[in-house]
Amino acid sequence: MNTEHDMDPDWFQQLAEVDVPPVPAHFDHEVRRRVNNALLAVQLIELATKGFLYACGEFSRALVDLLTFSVSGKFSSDRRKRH
Amino acid sequence: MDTLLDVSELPNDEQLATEAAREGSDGPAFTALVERFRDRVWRICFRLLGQEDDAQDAAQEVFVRLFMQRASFRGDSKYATWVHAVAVRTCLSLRRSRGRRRHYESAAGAEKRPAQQPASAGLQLDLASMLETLDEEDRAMVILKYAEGYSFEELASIFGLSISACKMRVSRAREKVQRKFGGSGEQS
Repeated sequence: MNTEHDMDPDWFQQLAEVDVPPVPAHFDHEVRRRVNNALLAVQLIELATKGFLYACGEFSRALVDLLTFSVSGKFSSDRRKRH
Repeated sequence: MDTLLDVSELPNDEQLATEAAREGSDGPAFTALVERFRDRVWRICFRLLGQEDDAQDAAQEVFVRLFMQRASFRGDSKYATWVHAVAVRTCLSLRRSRGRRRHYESAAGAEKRPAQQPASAGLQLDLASMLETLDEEDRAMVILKYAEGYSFEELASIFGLSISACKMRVSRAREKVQRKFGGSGEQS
């Protein structure tokens, strides 16, 4: 048991002896590029989803108005004016 | 990156992180954070991944995650601890995804290699393979503890465990390596 514990520090001390190379030269540039790409992707997704919802809302309102006109023969805007 | 502010005059990490969360893009506060943590993140990634290409990829991914999640830092812990935790999680997920691929590659390559490694390969070359026998999180803990000199308190914060749990896991990892490789460093 003692032998094992004596061996332990030697093994694990080797981990600290492994040199870490310096940060690559264009690291910051690459980080900035990736961050901007990620930001662009997020904004495009946000635009697409929000734009899609807005378009759905607008078209559904137009569709409702069309159905209303087909049934009653009056535009919903005409009804609002009368009131 | 263009640094618009003098980093030395900026407040502490936590205040800088709050400022970065207000920025719409990678502004001066986030740039200053990258400058402050670049070396530490790089060291963690290199230690955990062992290869420069993988480490570079992981370190860049860490900063992308920090940027995307910059609003979710609540200040419950030190910002440095949060950064280290993100770095460790990123490396672990990268290792998992690449490990599966390399497993198949190495299995294919093993047929071409001689059946036995020369005994002269010794402890130093075996150390990486010894650590490979550990669970991913245990391996990361052992590396951060012994290679980077993290305290158990820091490990506990990074891994979201109690200090005693960290001590237990590192101790068990050591025992596992000892049991498997004995005194000679060769697999028994």
